[in-house]
Formats: sequence, structure tokens, C-alpha cells
Amino acid sequence: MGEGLSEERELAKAVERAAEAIALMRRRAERHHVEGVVPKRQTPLFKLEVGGAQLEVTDKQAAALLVVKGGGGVEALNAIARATGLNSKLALGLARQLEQMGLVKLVAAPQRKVVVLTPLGREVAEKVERELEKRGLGAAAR
Amino acid sequence: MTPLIVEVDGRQLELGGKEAAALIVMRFVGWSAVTLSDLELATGNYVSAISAVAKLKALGLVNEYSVRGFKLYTLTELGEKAADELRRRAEGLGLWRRVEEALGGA
Repeated sequence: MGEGLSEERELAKAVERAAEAIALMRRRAERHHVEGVVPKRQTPLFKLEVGGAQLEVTDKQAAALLVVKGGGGVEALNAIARATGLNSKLALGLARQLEQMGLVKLVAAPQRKVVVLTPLGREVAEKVERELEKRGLGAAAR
Repeated sequence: MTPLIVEVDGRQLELGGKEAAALIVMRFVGWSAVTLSDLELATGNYVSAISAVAKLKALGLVNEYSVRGFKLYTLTELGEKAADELRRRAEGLGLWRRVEEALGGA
């Protein structure tokens, strides 16, 4: 009985602590809010056969996938922005586009964002790499 | 300090109050990952945040992504279920209104 009451008190403290943190985090997040915008100027680069379907990959999508693959499958969104020459809004839009294609997972806190390759994204990144090498562009891409 | 015992998927998880607070924050704040400084807010200070993360990772409730000198933390599926169970219990005791206020007041 006493233990149950102590557990309730502990839960009450945890909820109170969490509520205070959530309120503060959401106020702070307003300063970091960025709305993603998909970059308009993207040039179709490849049509790849993936899982029995054709997938069109643009120059910026290919670059982003290679950057994430180069980071071992996990990379900061900032690094993608730098590599593709996009600002943070457009880089976020590009990452969301890749997420919709099932190629990456966006792990995002308001002030920090990380892009993680999915197994399909890794497969596509490897095909992009091979295709660039075939075209003699492999070293330039790296 | 009495630990909170949460049963999820047939597993009994023993959580401290700060770990429980961290789980609630991660599940309900409204975004997919949190930073260590977010967890400091939930647990009180840097040392508690590090200790809570270590315990939650060991229990399989939290994933860590480490990139270019910073770390992000997300809940695993088990972590989400544990946080949902904490919510269910808090609601049963009439404690959840504080979290709803915090979410609504942003």
C-alpha cells in the first residue's frame, strides 16, 4: 500500500518535471523553426531499377545520398546543405523529399537534424555511385 | 526513492523518476528526436541527463545518433510503449493535465 503511494508520488514528480521541460522546449523551439521547401531546380540524373520499380533520381538527391553514405549512413543535415549548396530550408525540403521516397529517415529536433539512410536508400546510393563511376564521374562525386 | 515499475510487452522495467520524465518528454514534446540539453531540462542537470540516457539505452528504450560532435536521441518502439504506459497511469491518477497544458500553451 505504502509502496503504491510512493510510486504515485514519484510518477507525479516525473510528470511535473516533464511538463515543465516540454513547455520550455516548445518555447525555445520557436526560435529554431524552419519550414522545409523542396528545391525547384533539380535536374533528373538517373533512372534506376530498384526493387522491380523505376526510380528517377535528381542531381541534388544523388548528391545528398552520397553525402549520407559517405558519413557511414548517418549525416547532419548541415553537411548535406554544404555539399549541395542549398540553404537550410531547401536542404530540409530535399531531405523530406528523400524521406517520402523511402530513401532516408529524418531524425529531427528543432535545433539539430540528422539524416539516416534506409536500406533502400543505401541500395540507391550504391547504384548512384556505380553509375557515376561508369560515366567517369566517380572521383568528382567523392 | 521508489522506482516506477512499468510493464511493457511482458517485460518489467524499473525506472527512476528522472528517466520516466525523460521518456515522457521524448514521446510527447512533438518532434522525433531530442538533444542532450533537452534531456537536461527533463532530468535537472547534465550528469542526470547522461545517467538517464545510459540507463534508457541499456533498457533498449532509447536510440542514440552521434554525428559530427553532437548527439540526438529517439525512442525505440519499446520506449514509446513505456512512455504510453506512463501516460495511461498518469491519466488514471489525474496527473496528465499538466502535460496537456504544457503542450497547449506553446
